[in-house]
Amino acid sequence: MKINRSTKPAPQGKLEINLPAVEKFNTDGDVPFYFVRKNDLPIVNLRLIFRAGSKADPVGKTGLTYMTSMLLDEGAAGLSTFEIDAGFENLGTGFSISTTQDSIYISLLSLNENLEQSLDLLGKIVNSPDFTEESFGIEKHKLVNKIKRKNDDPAYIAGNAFENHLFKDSGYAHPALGYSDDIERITNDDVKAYYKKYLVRENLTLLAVSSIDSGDLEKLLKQYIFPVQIGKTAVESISLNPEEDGRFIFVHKDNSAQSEIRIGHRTGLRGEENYYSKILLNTIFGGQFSSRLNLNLREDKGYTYGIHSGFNYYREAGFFEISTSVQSEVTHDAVAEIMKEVTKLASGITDEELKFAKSYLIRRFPALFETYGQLVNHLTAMINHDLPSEYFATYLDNIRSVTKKEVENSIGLINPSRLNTLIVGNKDTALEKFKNVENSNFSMGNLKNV
Amino acid sequence: MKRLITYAFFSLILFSTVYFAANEIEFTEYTLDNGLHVILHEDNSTPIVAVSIMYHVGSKNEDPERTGFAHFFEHLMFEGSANIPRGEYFKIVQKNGGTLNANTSFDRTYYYQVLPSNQLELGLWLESERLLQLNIDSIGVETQRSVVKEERKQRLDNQPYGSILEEIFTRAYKEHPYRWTPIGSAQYIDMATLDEFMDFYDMYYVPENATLSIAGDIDVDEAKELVEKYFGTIPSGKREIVRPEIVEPPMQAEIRDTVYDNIQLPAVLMTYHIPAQGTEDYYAINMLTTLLSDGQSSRMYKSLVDEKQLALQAASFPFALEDPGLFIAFGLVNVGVDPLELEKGMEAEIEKVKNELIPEKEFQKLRNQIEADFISGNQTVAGIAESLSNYHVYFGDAELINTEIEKYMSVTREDIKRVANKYLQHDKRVVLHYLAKSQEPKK
Repeated sequence: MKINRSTKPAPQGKLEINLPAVEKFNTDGDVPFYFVRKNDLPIVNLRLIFRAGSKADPVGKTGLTYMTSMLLDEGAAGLSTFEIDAGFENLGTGFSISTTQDSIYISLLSLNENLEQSLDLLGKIVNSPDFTEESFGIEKHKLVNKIKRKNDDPAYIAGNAFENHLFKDSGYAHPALGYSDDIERITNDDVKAYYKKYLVRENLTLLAVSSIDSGDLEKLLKQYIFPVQIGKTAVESISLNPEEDGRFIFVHKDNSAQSEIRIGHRTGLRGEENYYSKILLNTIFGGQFSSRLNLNLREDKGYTYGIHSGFNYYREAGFFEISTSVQSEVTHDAVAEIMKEVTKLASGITDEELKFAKSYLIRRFPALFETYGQLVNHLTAMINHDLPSEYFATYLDNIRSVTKKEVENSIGLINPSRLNTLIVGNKDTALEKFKNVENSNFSMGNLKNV
Repeated sequence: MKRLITYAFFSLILFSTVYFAANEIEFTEYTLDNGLHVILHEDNSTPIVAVSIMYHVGSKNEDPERTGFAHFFEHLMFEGSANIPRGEYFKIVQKNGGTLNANTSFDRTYYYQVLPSNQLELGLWLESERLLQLNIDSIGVETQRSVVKEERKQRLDNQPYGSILEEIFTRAYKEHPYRWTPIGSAQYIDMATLDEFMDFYDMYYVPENATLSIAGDIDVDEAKELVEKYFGTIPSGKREIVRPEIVEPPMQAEIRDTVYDNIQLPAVLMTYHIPAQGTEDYYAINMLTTLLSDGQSSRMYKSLVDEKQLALQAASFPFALEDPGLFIAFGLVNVGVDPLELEKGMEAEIEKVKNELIPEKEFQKLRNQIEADFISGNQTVAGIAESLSNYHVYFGDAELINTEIEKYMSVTREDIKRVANKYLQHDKRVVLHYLAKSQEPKK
């Protein structure tokens, strides 16, 4: 068969997309419940979200939220840590707890047939944690070691130091794991008090992606998970200092083989109207492989294995960040190229770029709903940012309707004079060429405090 | 290594697997006249399709003076073809809503795209173009040299413990090409010439050395026609494909060494030689590693992390390879603990398996876990496409996607004890201690 290879094939037919329908209702005791029915497998993926994250850590006791969450399953209702772990593993149930800046997630992935037994264990963990002194000592020791381990990772150091600068003196300034010195000060009584205060019904939202229908699931939850202790203490809102002009911060790390670079500043919240314009702008600028930043710094200059940018959102703050790691010797040149790309944005985007970005976002949309885990993560974002339940159903139209002018208007949200530059690297090879940075604007970061 | 780091997530994906074990993955497979093997799996639950090609060439096919070549070549495969200009390959896929990537192992190189299902033809055109008529120019080569060097730094040199695999494999193998790892050496990447790339392409990137595996929302008959259209006329290779035949001689004595890295917490690694993947003993060893370290109630985690608090992490895993591979036990030493003490603790757990039969109840938990682990890749069409290719390329039997579990289920408690004694021997192992650079003796 002779074929014409010179033109790329067109799509065959129109794609049919069945979007997940999100049910949202309040369960007993007024707990919001987000539910998506998915029948591919006989499983239930459940998540409890407590709106109590590391931003609620007291000053001088960072890491308290994390400690509390980690201790939940270290002995509960008379079952030992080992009995709980073995219990889940025998059932083949996946169980995990994680802590973010805004929330604690308690997640369960269970076969339908083992769901009741899994929920029984989960209920004990949530409602009757033992918080023994012994477990407290063990977990504290683990956390301090874990932080030591993480602090050897230049990317972890850079991310934390950067956000510490953006959000200084607020609940978002420290990493969810906390700082070692602070953790030494935390007592088991602090943990118990935190649990009593914040892991309460009024801070709880439930979500499930499930092959069991919502009514039956609700009954089981009522039986095993509730009563979650009654309480009303919401975590205090954070307050941010006014943002200053951008600074240049260099953190020296011995023997660095590359420089970790973070460039950015604070931006608006997730719920703001220009959200879709910002997604399109970032797709063009640094949000995917064929972005301006990656084509320049990787595919043209070969400075890096990859560079990425994004608008990031906490519940009460947002920030724009460019991140990459580059060869030490070209650190200055890489930063200069990034700044060139930022400056170039002022001359706008092309029709072709906008067409590409829209096509990229619209056509990949169906692939975002393949697995239970993907859906759980989408629902989590929906809950964290109070998005409407028709968010998925309107997403494509929202992307389609953004105009070039609207994208160009959002360019102004990235302000070159406010951009902070933070580098973790070797000062002997990476810093020298930056001597034109004004003294008043420059500081050396301290590895100890990051 | 990914498994060590994403431990918490690992257990999360277990479940769907039990179901899949009971639900067969149906597929069609056949070989085109030019030697290309084709595997098709239809699953209409999401309107996407994974189009993948596995080339049976990895770092073990490399010249020792050109380590890193297969991986470097993988980067060049995105450079374009006679009909795809340089820089367009990614753009075309992304503009059409696809995601794409590739990776290189010791034994094979794997390329995949996940596209909206009405773009199957596009995916086939793209993959066939670079198999038929890849375009490599010196600009592309020069840029990718720098990119690959930065990839090496990002993944290894600037990553705490990033050099572990390299340091292990270079000591565990003296003859076999597993003595270097796929990322290879920056020095050789600079030395390779355009002619060498074309020669490598001629030898290994030929239909008879490739498996095209497609999974997702397709119509099998239509897919067959499209495959024929784009791949049917690609000529076979003209040369015999060279594969290494070196057999690694058994170790005669323990190798013990210290590596100094940019770390605060020391690490202990104990490595033993094991048989190739797919052999009977391999399955028993795989179950042994699950017993030792899969989950927080596993033996090493419970004893070394929770009870004795010697380690922040403790794990073991079989490095499954086409030729005989390695069993690696790994522990991250807590502050104030002597690495030797953790080593003794790890060894005690290994000795226990050698001396005592696993209790029935624990063995049952293990079987449940293995059953779940076995098909954990099968929840996405991309995972299914890759598994089907793996089973075909390594064992010539894609049906193993449904039946390999039986090999695990036939392993007995006695088998596990036996393989522990047979392969985990003190005098045939590599023990590495990773220590902080500040502890390095001054020269």
